[in-house]
Amino acid sequence: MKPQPQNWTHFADFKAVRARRTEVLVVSRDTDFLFELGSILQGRFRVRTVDSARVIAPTSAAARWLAIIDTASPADARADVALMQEQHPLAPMIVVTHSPWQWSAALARGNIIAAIAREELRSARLTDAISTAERRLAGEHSVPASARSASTLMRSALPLLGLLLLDIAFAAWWLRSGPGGNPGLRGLLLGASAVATLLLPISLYHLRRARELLAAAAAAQCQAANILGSMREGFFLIRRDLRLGASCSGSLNELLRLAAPAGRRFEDVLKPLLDAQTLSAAVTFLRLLWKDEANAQAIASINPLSQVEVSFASAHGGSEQRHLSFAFRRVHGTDPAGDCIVGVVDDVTDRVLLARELDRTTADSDSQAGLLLQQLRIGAVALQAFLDAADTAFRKSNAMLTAPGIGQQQLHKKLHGVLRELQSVKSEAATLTLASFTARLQRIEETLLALSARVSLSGNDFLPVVVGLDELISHAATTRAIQAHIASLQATPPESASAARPIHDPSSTIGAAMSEHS
Amino acid sequence: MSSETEVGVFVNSVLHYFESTVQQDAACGTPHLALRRHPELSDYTGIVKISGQRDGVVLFTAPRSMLCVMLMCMRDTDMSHDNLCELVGEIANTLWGNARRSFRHQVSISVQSVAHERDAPMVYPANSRPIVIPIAWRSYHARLVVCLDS
Repeated sequence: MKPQPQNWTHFADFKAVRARRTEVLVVSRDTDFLFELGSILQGRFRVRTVDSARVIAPTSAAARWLAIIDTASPADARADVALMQEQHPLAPMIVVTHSPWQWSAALARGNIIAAIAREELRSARLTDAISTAERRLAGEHSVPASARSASTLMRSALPLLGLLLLDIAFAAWWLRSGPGGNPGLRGLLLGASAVATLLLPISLYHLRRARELLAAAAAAQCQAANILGSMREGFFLIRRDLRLGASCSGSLNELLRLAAPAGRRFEDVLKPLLDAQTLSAAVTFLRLLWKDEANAQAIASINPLSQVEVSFASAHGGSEQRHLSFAFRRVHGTDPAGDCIVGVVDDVTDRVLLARELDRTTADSDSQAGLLLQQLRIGAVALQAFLDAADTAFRKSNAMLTAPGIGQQQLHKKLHGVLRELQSVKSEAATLTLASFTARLQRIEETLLALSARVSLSGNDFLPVVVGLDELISHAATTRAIQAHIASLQATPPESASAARPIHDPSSTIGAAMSEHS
Repeated sequence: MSSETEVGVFVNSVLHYFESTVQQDAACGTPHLALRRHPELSDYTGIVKISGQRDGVVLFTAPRSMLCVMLMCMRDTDMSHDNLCELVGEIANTLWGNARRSFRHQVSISVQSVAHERDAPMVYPANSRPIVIPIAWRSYHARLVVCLDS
C-alpha cells in the first residue's frame, strides 16, 4: 500500500493568501511523489497540491507562489505547463521530469526555473531551484526605488487629502452655523481652510504623479524582464560576496548549463568548467575589481576569463568543449550597497574554431613548401617505400575500426591496435625526418594515449582519430602526387622538356599538383 | 569549424533523437572511413545536403525492420512505405535542424530528401572519404554517413 501524504492539504482552488512562508503549489497525481516531496520541503513552505493545472483558479495570478510540476506521471504534463505559463506568467515553476534535457529550450525563456530529473529529487538541485524561485518572487514583488517612493508618496498623500477635505467641510459647516461663535477661532478656522484649499491641488498633483511613477516603474520592470529573457548573451550580476545576483538573462542557464545560477557563488559555478589555476586567477581578478582604488580599464585588460575553453559533460559520455568569453564591469550605485559587477558571457566557439582553422590553413601552406623540400632531400625510393607502408598501416587501422563490436574490451583492443600501427608509421616518418607526417601522427597518438587511460570508452570517442586518419590519408596522397610530378620532371630529357614548355617553371607545376590534391 | 565538431553534431543529433523520441538509447559504434568504395545503404535513407564553407552530404540509413520497431515504440501501427519514409525524413529533419542551430551562418543546409532504394545513386563530394558511424539500437544497425569536402 502506498503511504498517504496526510500532511498535505488537497484543494482545487489556489487563493491568494498572505503568508510569511512561501506558497508552493505542487501539480501531481502521484502520491509517492507527493510523499517524497513533502518530506523534502518539510514545514518550510505552505504547500498546496492539485491534480492538474486546469483546476487552478485564474484569479490566483496575483498570488505569490511558486509551482513544482510533476511531468513524469500525467500524460498531458506539457499541456499543464503551457497552461500555467499562460495563466500565471509571474509564478516561477520547477519541472520534475524523467528527461530534463527536453526542457532545455523552455529553461532559456519564460518562468521555468529548472528541470530536475525525478531521480535527483533529493539532490541539492531542488533546494537550489526553490531558493532561486523564492528570490525571483522576492525580486518581482520588490519594486524599484522610484516605484517605492511613488507608493510611499501615495500612501502618505491619501490621508493628507482626506484631512484636507475634512477640514474644508468642517469650516464650511462652521461658517453656515451662524455668527454666534468665537471670532478668534473662526478666523483660525478660516485661515486653516484657506491653506487646506491651497494644499488640495498640490496633494492631487502629487497623487497623480505617484500613480504615473508606479505605472512607469511597472513598465520598466516588465521591459527589463523582456530584455533579459531575449538576450543572446548571458548577463549576470556579481555581488560583493562574489555570489551571483537574482537578475540574470535567460540564456545564462543554457550557456553555463546550469539550472539555477542565481544566488550561487561565482567560484562554484566556474569550478566544474575551469582548471584550478584559471579559477583562482578569476577569483583574484574579481576581488581586484571590487577594490575602490583599482583602475577598471587597467584591470579589464588582465581578465583571465576573456576567452576560456570549458568542458561540459556530454549526455552521451565524453565531454563537449566550448569557448566562452566573459567580460566584467564594476557598476557604482547611489550608495555603496548598490554597487555590483555586471558580467556578460558569450559563446565564442565558432569564432575561435574559425581562427584556428585559418591558422591551420596558413600552417598548411607553409608546410607544403616544407614538404617539397623534404621530398627533394629524401630519395624517391625511400619515400615511395614509406608511403606504401603508411598506406598499408592506415588501411589496417581503418579496418580495425570498421570491425564490429562496441564492448569495452573490443574498443580497447581497437584502440591499442590502431595505436600500434600508427606508432610504427610515426617512427618511420621520424627516421626519414618527414616532419609533416610526424606532427600529424603525433596529434593522433596523443588522442589515442589519452583515450587508453580512460576506463570507459564509447564509439564516439574515436571520432577525432578517424578525422585525423582521414587527414593523414589526404596528406599522403598529396605527397605521392608531388613525388610523381618530381619523378616525371626528372625523367623528362632536357631537350624535349624545353621544347614542350618554353618557359619551364617546376614550382608552378608542383604548386598545381599540390592544390589539386590538397 | 573542424570536421570533428561537425561530425560530432550529427552523431549527437541522432543519439538524442533515439533517446527522446523512441525513449531508448542508441549506441554509437566506432566511426571509420569508407575507403575505395561508397558506404553501403540500407532500405531507407534520409539525406541532408550541405553547402557553403564546406560542401557535402549527411545520410541516415536504416533497415525497414528497425524503422518498423521504432514506429511501434512510438505507438504507431502504420507500417506503410509512406510512414517509414516520413520517419526517416523526420530523422533527417532533426539532423538538419541541429546542424542549422550549431553551424548558424557558416553553412547553408538544403532541404532533406528520402531515398528508398539500397542502390539509390548518391553523389559524394570529389576527393573526400565518407565517415561512417554505425548506430546500434536494440538488435538493429543503422548508419550515419557524413561526407564533407576538405
